[in-house]
Amino acid sequence: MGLRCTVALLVACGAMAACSRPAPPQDGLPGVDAVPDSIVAPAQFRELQAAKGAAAPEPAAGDGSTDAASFVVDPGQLSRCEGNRRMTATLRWTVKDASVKAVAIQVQDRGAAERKLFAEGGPSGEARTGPWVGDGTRFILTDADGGRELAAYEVTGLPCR
Amino acid sequence: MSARADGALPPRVSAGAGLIAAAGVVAVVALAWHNGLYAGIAPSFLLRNALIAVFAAAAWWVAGRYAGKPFGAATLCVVASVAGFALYAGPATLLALLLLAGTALAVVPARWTDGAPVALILLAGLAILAAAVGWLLPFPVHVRWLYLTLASALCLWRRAWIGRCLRRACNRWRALERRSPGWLLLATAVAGIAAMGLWLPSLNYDDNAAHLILPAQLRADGYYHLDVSTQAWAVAPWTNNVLNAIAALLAGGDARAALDALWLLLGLNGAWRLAKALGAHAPAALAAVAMYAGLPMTAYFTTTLQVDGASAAVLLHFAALLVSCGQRLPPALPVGVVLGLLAGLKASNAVFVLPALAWLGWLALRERRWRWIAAVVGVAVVLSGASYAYATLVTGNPLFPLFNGWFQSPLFPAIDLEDRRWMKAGVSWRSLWELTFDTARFGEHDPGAFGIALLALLPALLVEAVHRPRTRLVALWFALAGLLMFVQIQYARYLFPAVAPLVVVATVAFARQLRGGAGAALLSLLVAANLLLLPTTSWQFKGDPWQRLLRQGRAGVAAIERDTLPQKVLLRRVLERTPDACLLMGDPAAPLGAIAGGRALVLKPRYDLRMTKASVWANADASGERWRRVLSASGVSHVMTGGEPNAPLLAALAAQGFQPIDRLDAAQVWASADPGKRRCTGRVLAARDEARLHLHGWARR
Repeated sequence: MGLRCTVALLVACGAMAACSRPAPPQDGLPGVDAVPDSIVAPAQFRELQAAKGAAAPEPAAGDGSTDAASFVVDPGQLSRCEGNRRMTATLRWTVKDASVKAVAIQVQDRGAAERKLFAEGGPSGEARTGPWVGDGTRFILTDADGGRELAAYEVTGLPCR
Repeated sequence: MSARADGALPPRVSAGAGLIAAAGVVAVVALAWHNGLYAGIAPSFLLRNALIAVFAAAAWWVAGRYAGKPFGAATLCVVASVAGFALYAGPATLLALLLLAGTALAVVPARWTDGAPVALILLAGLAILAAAVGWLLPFPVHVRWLYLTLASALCLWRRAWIGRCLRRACNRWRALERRSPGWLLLATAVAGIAAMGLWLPSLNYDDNAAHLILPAQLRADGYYHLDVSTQAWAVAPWTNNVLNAIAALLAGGDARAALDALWLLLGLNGAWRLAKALGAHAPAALAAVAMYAGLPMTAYFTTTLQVDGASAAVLLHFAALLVSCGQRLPPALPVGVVLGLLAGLKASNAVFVLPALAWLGWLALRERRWRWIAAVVGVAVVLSGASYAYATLVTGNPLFPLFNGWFQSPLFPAIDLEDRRWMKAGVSWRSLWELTFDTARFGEHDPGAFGIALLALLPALLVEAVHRPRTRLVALWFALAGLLMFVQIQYARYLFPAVAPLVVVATVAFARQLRGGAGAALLSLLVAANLLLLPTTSWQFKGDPWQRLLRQGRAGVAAIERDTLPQKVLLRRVLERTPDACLLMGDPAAPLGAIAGGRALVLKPRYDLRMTKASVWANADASGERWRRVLSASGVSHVMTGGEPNAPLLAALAAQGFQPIDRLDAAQVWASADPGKRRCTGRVLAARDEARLHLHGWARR
């Protein structure tokens, strides 16, 4: 196998690449263009967007308030800069429904069925978490008596600039 | 167990080094026990392997009493392994194995093989077969009768040559049986237990989602569709899939075990050759073979088409070749073959050969061996180039779907795809410890799957690397390559091609530092301690499926498949009843449609992005109208769901006149009530057949 053969092969491969005009298949599947590519790897797409210069908003307080209660998680977003995976957050709540005498706050990870009790308290109050709040952590404010859901908030991740 | 040498022993390092080496093994085995690595292993698995050890020892004792015997205990072990293979993998798979190996030996021209080891000739033959079939994959020439005719004719034509290869291998085996019967028995017994993975059906997720598409497509249609829109990995380096497809065509059915058996044998021989190249005497080299065979991942790779075991086998031979050549350039042909095989198996194998390439490049440039460089590149490109060339033709990205942020193929999102699940563990000085005792952080394994050999033999390896330059170079090569891979992704399985040679080198080092009965006992203990961790490599092995095989015989194979992968059994039933069926695998968690040969559309974005997008769009419409349109456009004849479908899909199935026609556990198959209407009607499959679109037109012209 000599130099000529190698060069010929490389030229053939190059020609093949130059001649090819790849395109998505015309398979007629409906709805394909209505869904973003980011379903392949959402985190990578967020970073891609940030790398292309899209503004990366600062983490802000998250408001999960409803007619039954005001419920704020601060911060409500997790900045993913420098590999940040977890953070602490402060929760504040005020229940408007006078019949609610005590509340329970439950925590649930995204995609998980199980909820864990995080805190209990009166109709208004504040609680601080440990450094375990991540992208997808969901806080649910419930009536401690009966378990009725009053408000909820899910922490989301923010891309890095 | 005798530690008799077959030649002059190299000088021992020091008594202190021996003590350090022994302490390493004792401490790590004790820690493995203390940390509960064996806690979850089925008692039946432990008991059966203890019984095998007792029987092997008894066979050795009996064989030793009858001098002049025609067979030794190790040969009996091999016979038992072959019998088990024939029974559980099936005689057709055994025939495929023999034909594949025979054909691989036959296609290598005699003038290339002047004095080369049989294993290198076999590797060259496999590479040639994979290349020949690989370049022809999109063309409709892949029919069983042609493969059987060609393979048989080649084996007959070169029968004298094949016979000579076999005789050479047998003579060496007999010589080993005479000189080191105990170590040979240990190596064959351990390899025999590792080879029990060959008895199992193909249960691996990746195999059933991707790797098995190619053989199924060739058997059904006679050509490969290059349908990257249905399976994004369809044009990824495919040497292993091609070899498996050849075996499948020869066997007339799934013959994964035939190819895995070849890679296991080549890996064992590679360990032997590397140890010998490092100057090990026969007992130490056989201990290295046993240590390689006993690694939990070695056995794991006999159960799957994942290529890291094959890459390790090729790298062992590459290392042996380079070590035996010292500071001379090795012949271009074997280097080209090895590089071609590695590139054809997996693009990321480049990481494992980088240090060696730097060394070879420096030697070649220093000596101005331009023709040598051209020959190596030429051979490697011809042998491995098919998948890269077709990927370029179809997608514009030779590494599709990887690095698509760079190549911007319109057939996949423009991102550099990464698996973030295995990029969180981080890299630190404790990583080897964590890989050994906390393996679950580095892949879908239980703690222990990485094996304890590398950590246990690390003191011996370090001492040896300080004293012996050859050992140092090989150890540095694979340590550096392993680290490069680990920095990119903290995934234990991907490290195996570096770990296997390191364990071989470390075993040789240990055998030098601690000789005699104590060394032999500790090495045997470590081999056994590693081997017993086999079930930690996969959740499918936790329940000891081999116990079921031993109880139920061949029927156990189907029973294991049924319990582990009901979707596959159900899919096979559909394909048997309706051979031209096309399906939607409607359970996103089980995109296991490979045996349908590309006629099963799946809902996993990294495999079939367009179909997944269509399903996301359709799920948002509670009326089911969108799903009805998706089903109509895709034209599928059957839909498989993981249980009761969601409301939109259920409504669409009803509107299409589909009803449940079969079920197994939670999985259900839906199709038209009228069997006559169960036909593929859409244009999705035809529109995605890139071989027909790009190449069959040229052929017709």
